[in-house]
Amino acid sequence: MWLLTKDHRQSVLKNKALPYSSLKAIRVFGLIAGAAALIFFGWRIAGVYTEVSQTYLQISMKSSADGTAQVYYDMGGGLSEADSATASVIGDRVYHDYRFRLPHRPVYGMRFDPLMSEGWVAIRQVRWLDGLGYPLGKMDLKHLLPLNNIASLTSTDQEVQVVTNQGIDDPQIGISLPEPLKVGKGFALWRHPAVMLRILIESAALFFFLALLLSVCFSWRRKIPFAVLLALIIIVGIETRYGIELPATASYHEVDKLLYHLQTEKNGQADYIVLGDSVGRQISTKAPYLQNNKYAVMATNQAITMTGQYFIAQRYLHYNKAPRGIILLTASTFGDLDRDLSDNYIQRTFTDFSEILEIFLLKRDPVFTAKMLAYRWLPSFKYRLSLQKRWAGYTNAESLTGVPYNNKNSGASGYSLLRLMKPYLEKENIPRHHFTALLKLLNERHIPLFFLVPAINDSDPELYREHENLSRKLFPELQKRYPNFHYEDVHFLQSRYYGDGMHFNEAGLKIEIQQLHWKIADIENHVSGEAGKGDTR
Amino acid sequence: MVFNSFGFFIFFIFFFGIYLALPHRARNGFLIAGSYFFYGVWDIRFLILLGLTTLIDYSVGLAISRAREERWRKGYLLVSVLSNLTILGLFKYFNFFSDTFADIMALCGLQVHPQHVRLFLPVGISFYTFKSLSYTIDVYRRTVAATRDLIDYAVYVSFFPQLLAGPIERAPQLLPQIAGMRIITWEKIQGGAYQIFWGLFLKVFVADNLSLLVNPIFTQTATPTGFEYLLAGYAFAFQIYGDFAGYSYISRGIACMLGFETMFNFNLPYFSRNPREFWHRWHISLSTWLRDYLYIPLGGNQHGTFKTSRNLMVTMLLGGLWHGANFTFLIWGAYHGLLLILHRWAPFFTPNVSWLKRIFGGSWIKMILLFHAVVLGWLFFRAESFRQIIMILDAMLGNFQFDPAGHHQLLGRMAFYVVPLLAVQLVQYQRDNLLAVLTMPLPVRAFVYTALFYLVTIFGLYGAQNFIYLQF
Repeated sequence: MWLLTKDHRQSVLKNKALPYSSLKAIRVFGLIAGAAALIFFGWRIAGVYTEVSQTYLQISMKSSADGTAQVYYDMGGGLSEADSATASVIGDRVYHDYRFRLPHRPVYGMRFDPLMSEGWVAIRQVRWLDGLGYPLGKMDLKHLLPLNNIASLTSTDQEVQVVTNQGIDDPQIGISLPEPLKVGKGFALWRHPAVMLRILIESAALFFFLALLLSVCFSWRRKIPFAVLLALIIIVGIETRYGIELPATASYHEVDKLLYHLQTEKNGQADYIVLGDSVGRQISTKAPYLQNNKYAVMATNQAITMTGQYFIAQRYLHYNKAPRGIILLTASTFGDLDRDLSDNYIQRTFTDFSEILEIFLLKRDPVFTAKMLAYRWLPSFKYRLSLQKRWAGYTNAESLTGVPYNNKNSGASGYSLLRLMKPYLEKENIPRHHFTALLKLLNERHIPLFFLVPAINDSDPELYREHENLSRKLFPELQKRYPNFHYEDVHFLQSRYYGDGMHFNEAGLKIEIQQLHWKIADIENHVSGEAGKGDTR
Repeated sequence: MVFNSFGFFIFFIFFFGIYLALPHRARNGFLIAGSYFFYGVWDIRFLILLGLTTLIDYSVGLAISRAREERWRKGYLLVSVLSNLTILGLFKYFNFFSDTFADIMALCGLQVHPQHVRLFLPVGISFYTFKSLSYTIDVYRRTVAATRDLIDYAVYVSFFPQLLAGPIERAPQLLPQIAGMRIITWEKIQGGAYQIFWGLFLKVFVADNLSLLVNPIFTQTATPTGFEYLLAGYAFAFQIYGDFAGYSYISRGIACMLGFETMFNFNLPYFSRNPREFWHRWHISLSTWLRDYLYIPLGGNQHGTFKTSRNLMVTMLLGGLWHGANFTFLIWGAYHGLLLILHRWAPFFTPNVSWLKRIFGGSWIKMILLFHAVVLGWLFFRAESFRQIIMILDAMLGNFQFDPAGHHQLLGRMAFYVVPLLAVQLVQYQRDNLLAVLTMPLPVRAFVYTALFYLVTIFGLYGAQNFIYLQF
């Protein structure tokens, strides 16, 4: 009202259609908004039902080659293309979860074609899930059998390794089922109380929102607000639906995937969790002794900075039992939230309200916070890279240019007003603050943190100096305050052991995996010793 | 801070909220503070130049209005013209002319080492310099009264919606609105919000995505074929339109929400049927500026065909040079000058053949022909160097190579970005209303809003590209 000129204000006040002008008008507006909210509520339930009732076969697998995996379902009439589902396989030799839609009819047998070329795959887990990623059942890996073009299929405790014949293009693995697989529609209200509560809250919010907008629209009797209102309702509907569908199907980045699994599976029973940057990820995902349920390997990349590591640890502890120790395996130091990739990662992936509030209080940057909120409320914006690929046929590189980085070219000069104001807004390095917060959190929960640094490339003395400074100045001081904090001295490795200057080549990786094995043995001994002491006391 | 950034979005929300709550006079002071903050985010050193230009032209305006003798009035005007052109020349053109002089001397066998000044190029300098200069000229011509209020004049020069890339709004239109009472109505807020939204669509969806198609062709080391250059020309035509018209729409939308009525800088230029009409529809504020302050003083079309042609060529050459210190812009200006001259001379040479008129006389045929002529001009404009212009012409004439299998993906991508734009423009053209969407039925409008929202949210590029015209 106060936006208007005096004449307009008077005309609005004279308007009898205002919702608060009579009891009858209030009832009419209440009824319309209530009906709309009810329709939306029903539609939402239907949307959630459709999505959640879809079931998936999830195969956790790593592979030596890119390609397409295909699962054929035998529902009594043999195998056919029509009764099959496909997924794109990433040949990066790292475990990924591939999902295939399961039919709702009984399945008597399956055939799994893991690749379209020669190579090897290792399968860690086969299970079926509902649409929200909740596990419905699991399959014993002994039911995997070699069919065509398979040179060997060997089982270990943790995985089944399959090597194909050379020069072939269609290796096939059979999945024998001791009894027909009957996966009903996975939806059950009791299993998803949080989702239902969310829908209820949304509907209540929608009711008030609609009531407010309707009152505004009716009072001015204009068509434009109605069109805006209609568009808004459509957008809210689409976004809500996206909010359910996209996290399961369109998580593009490893951090997104990790957080999605953390929140949906809630089955972490690991004794140790491994956090870290991409160097840490390279080592920890290849180290054979870490590939079992005793360890939860969650090393991702440097771009999330120590702030991201803190948030991941916080979320893990929120959803799972406390581990016996946390290993932070990182070649990078704390990081800087203002780097292009970092701010984007933090804004896009860590969007719990508590995280948004925490960053806002520390950074005091309304733009940064607004971006986090936009990612929180607009799943289409958050998962735009996947949608771009799906709808407009972007390639990976082109999608990446669309990552909404801060535009460092505008207002980024040393003389920019914003640069000059920054020291007064941000008091300390936020990732460094979060490292201390992580130590504090773990200290309160009596969980030791082991800060391990992979060998530093001897052609990067700057990074070495950064680590050395930390281990000489800051870390001893922190160790006094938080006795559960442990760290090691950094060491060099010759540059010939590196592929791209930062990540290891095959030879370097072999050395580091061995090094890490010894370190982890020490850590386990240390933790067992400490626990023993505790028992004695 | 640019219009397509989150930073600007937050800035404008705060700014607009406070602006609405202030009384009229305080609003002007707040506009100056906001505009200087907006500009200072780029570089606070820019503010010195902006302030200097404001003070000089404000004083000159007053001096001209108070001077009684014509020679004094001319003298003061000369001070304004020289100071503005000196600032512009020093910051924008000094190094270019210095290099060119050295090259010419070298051709004559004389070795001259070019003198370079290491100065930053303030964004939008050409826009606000021309704007401020037009004020003193208008005061001299008595088309506008000199303002006595420094605050009003400072708002005129630094008005942040128009500061970085125009339009070069003239004092007779803007100054009275600054001095007078501005009424912000619901209609203005609605219209303004829609224009901001539409401008954002043009910029982040159309222009920035097309730049992904255009840039590799102009920057790659391998030699593109003639067809690829042509495709890049089409794409660049829509890219530069989306970029600049997008900026202008956002600028107009913001001004509208602040209670101002500013000019449209673009009026569906690719629907023009001849070069003259094109310049009435493209970058209207610059073309009218050049017409009023350069072409007409040179004599306009009043002294015969030859002199008219000369005036057209001089005006377009300077118009090209205004865009930047580069020969490619000069060539682009000369090309458009030539198109205008040919159009003027065309009736003398066109044979009066009825079948020819039937084929080429239709509006759509003329539009398509002119569009292609303009695209050729954009290739010169976008080229990285004079050498690349030669390469483009060479590839177009000798190495065209259309490969349907290889190029269908490029064409599809281009259609994805251009078709939604053309669909709305067709409605605008047929209804002769740039805000035609606002008059459409409710469900259609709701669909347009939703579609625009998703095209911008999902397919928009954020922060990847600055506005092209900020460099000019």
